[in-house]
Amino acid sequence: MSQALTVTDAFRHASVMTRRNVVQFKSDPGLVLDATLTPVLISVIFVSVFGGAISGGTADYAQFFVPGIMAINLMIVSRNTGVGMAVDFNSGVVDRFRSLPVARSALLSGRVAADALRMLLSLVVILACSTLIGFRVHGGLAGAAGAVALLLAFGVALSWIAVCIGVSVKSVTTVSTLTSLWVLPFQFGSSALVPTTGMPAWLRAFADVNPVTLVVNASRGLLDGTPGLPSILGALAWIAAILVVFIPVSVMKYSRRS
Amino acid sequence: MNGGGIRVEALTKRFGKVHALRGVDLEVRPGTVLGLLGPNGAGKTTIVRILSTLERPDSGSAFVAGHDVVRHPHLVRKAIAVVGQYATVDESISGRENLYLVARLLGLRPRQARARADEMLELFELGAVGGRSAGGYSGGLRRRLDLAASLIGRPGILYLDEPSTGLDPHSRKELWDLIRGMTHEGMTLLLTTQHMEEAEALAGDVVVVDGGRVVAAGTPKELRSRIGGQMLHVRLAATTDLAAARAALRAADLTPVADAEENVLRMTLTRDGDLTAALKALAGGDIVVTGFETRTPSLDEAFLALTGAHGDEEDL
Repeated sequence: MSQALTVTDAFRHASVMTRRNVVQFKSDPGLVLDATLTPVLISVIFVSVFGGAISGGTADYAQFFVPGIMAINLMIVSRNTGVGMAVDFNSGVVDRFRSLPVARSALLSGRVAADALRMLLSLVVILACSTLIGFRVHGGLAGAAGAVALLLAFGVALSWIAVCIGVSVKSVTTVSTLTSLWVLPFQFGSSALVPTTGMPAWLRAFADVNPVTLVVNASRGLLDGTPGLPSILGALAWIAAILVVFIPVSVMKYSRRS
Repeated sequence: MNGGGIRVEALTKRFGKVHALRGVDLEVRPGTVLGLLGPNGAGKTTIVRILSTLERPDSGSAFVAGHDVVRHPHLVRKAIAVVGQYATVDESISGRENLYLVARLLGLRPRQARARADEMLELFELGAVGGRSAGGYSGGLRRRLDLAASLIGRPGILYLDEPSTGLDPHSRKELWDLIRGMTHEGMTLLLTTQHMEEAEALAGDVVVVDGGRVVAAGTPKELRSRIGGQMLHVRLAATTDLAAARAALRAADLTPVADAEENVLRMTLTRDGDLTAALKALAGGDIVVTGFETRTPSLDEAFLALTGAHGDEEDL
């Protein structure tokens, strides 16, 4: 078929969709607050309340906790990627997009890209504010950039999981619940908030292979100036696996759903 | 401008146990308007969704502008525009942003897209509200924005799925005028509606569907005469006259149906002389007539006449 869509078309369509979602942020400031104020408040509260009990000091706990909250907040932000998909389906706007000569992947990747921008903002804001509660970057600019890049890639992978839920389930409320629910065991059964060494053996077995643990440990290493190759490779493998599975499944479900 | 036509043959579609389409044939000649008339659940929306490439048929074939909807959906999408039954605009952004978005997706450069969006806002008299969020638009405004978004790419073929749903009479009139304007430009139009009046006002040909089948087809005038022009209701003073009146009307070649409870005889007037014949027949005897009135059949009666049944399930 000579008039089929090219990869360039798909990129162009996706960037137009990204713009649409970024314009939406203006009418829904909650989307930006979710990415910025929420994690900063959580950080201050967690570090002040649990810092003394867990690490014997708030500054020590901040150093441990900040990479954790960066990962956890990506999960919070990714929820909206799925909810936004479900809202689009229910509003009928998806039918318009699907009846246009536009790449099937455009609406999905456009939304993921827009939410990646929110995630980047979230990571930068957390990192900037974390100095106020005692967090220090010892890994230099390269370490910080590496950690942000790795976390962002993980965030994009999370967004595709949320998109998949968003295009598979009809009810917006159910999508909202499911996207918050599946992340819970991964958030808490990880090294994000506490070291896995204190966990019971069965939980530790799970926590040590949990992608959140690998991403958080890799980011800690990069930020602290002690990068660990195993955790970085493990994190990258998880990210690649998630993308390989969830992108095609999401696009297929989006195209076929009636 | 000639965007090609539509041809549908033996189309079937099932959703679980529900047979939405049981073998539909229809044709829309290039540059004409076909009205697809039917009650809720008749299969109208399913036909439009298949022709829009949003749904795949179970069997049968559908060609739009010469392209197979299953094999070359992308080419079909290039030829068509769809205005769905429910507004398909993004409510969280402004009307202008909605139009800009579609123009960009259709491949216009940013500057061209902006100009085209403004042009459409002007054309559909949305200029004053263009900057406002589409979520706050009234039903009439939203329909116009919907239509504007669909026409941005200057499609040759347009589907309108129950376009006047939820519109007040004034907005409906405005919409009809807009649709008439488009057909003057040679666009091919497929319009679904539940209202005979709307089909008559806009379409050159009408196909009536019910229960997933085509039950009648023709010009609005032909259909009107097939579903019976007028109904005559004759009310009598005494039940005892009912038999005599019926016999007299039958003798005059009419087919009255008696309703003993209401003392009424009902019949369809199919020929020009039928009404005079009924008057003469009843004037002959001692029958006391207290009511004599003609009525245009309602849409429900019309469907009943054509289909013998009336679907009232949810629209598919």
